[in-house]
Formats: sequence, structure tokens, C-alpha cells
Amino acid sequence: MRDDETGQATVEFAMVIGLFLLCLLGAMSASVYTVQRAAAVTAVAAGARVAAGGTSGPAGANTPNLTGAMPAAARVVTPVLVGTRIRQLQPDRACPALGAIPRGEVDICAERSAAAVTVRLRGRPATAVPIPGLDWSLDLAAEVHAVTFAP
Amino acid sequence: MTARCQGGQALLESAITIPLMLLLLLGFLAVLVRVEAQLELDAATSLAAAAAVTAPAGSSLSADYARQTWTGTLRQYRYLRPGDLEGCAGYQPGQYVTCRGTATLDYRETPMGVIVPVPIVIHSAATARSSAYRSR
Repeated sequence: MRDDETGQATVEFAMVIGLFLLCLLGAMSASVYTVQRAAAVTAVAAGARVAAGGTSGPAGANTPNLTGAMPAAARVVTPVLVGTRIRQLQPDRACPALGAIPRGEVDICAERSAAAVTVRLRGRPATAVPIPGLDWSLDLAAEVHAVTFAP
Repeated sequence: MTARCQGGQALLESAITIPLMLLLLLGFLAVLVRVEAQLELDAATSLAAAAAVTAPAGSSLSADYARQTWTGTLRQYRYLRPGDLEGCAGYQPGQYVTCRGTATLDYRETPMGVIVPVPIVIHSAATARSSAYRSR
């Protein structure tokens, strides 16, 4: 084999292996993101159920349990958001915009609006398979009608 | 084979391989989006069924609570358009309520619209049991 043929084979191999690795890492990254997103969907729904259920004690059954909603959501996502800081905001405080949340952090917030309760999870999880140009972020919410009892 | 001929062959091979790999990647992502959409619709329908049984028994508010919960949750996902939500109407104490929801998954709102250019209708159902003691 001549020198120029060997060089061509090397260049071709470098191109193919580069593309192959990009596709493989992209697929792995997408798979991890899918697992994280699925857990986040479940988490906000679990949080919304807890929030809508009302509180016990002097606050009364007609007061949404916003304080209990965030730990309930955090418990679901913690096992899959490895290396990510999960921040639970004060009740009735809106989540900051996605651009204001640093990479490796996810915020959970619970708010009451009219008769509904919304639990939101927003942020940029730390990723084990970083791909330049692929910025996986999570921005999910569940809204549920609050339980109310007539006097 | 001349060097020029070999260069042309390599170019042709790349022209076939690269779009094929990109299509494979987009196809893989399209399957993931379909799975995610089903999870999101299931979660919204499940919450809707839970909200329906929190309305007073026998009240028409059940359907309103369920609809508000369902559309409110699905509003977050721009590629999912809520359709019909049935079966969440009034219930009697202690009975089961089964909500059936339909939504349209529009791939054209995502980069996968290149390979799936048509909307897909997806279905979901969820059941919740009402409290036997809820009357108002």
C-alpha cells in the first residue's frame, strides 16, 4: 500500500469514528435526559397531588399544602439527578427564568393561582455525557385544581 | 483507479452515510419524544381523574375540575395539543371515575418534524376512586 493510500484510510477512519462517537454519545445523552425528564414529569405530578390535598391543623383543609409539595417532588427526582443541586424555593415563589439557573442546578417551586395549584421543576441538570451544542434543560409543571370543602 | 476517481468515490460514500446517520439519530429521538409525550399525557390524565373526585359527589363540577387540571398540565408542552377528555363527569360517593383523554402530538414543533411531518393522535386513561364520605 502506498503512503498516500494509508494516509487517506487514516483520514477516513478519523472522520467515521468521530461521527460514530458523536452519534453514540448523543444517543446516550438523550437516553439519560429521557430518564430524567420522565422522573420530572412524575415528580411534579406527585407534588401537585400533595399540594392540592390541603393541610391539616389550623391552616385548614382548604389551604393548599405548598410546603409539602416540594419535598414530595424532590424525593422523586433525587435518584436520577445525580450530581445536580436540587433547590426547593419558598412556597408561592415563582421559579426563576431558565437562563438565570446555573448548569447543574434544578429549582422546584409551588404556587397557588386562583383555584389551581402549580408545581414546577425548572433547571439544567448536570450531565455525565456532555455534548457541545446540546443543552438539555428541564422545564415541566403540573397544575391541579385545589381541593375545597364547603363550610 | 486514479486518485481523482477515489476522491469522488469517498465523497459519494460520505454523501450517503452522513444523511443516513442523521436520519437514524432523528428517528431515535422521535421515538423518545413519543414515549415522553405518552408519559406526560398519562400524568395529566391521572391528575385529572384525581381532581374529578375532589369535587362534591354528584356535582357537574367534576368535569370542570378535571378539564382545568388536564389542560393546565398539558399547556406546558407545546408539542402536545389537548383534545377530548371524557368520563370525568359527576360520580356517586365511593365510586370509581375513569377519565379518557386524547391529545395530538405534533412533531412539526420539534426538529423531528423532518422525518414525521404528520400529527399523531395519542390516547390515555386513568381511574381514581372517590371517597365514600365526600358529600360537599
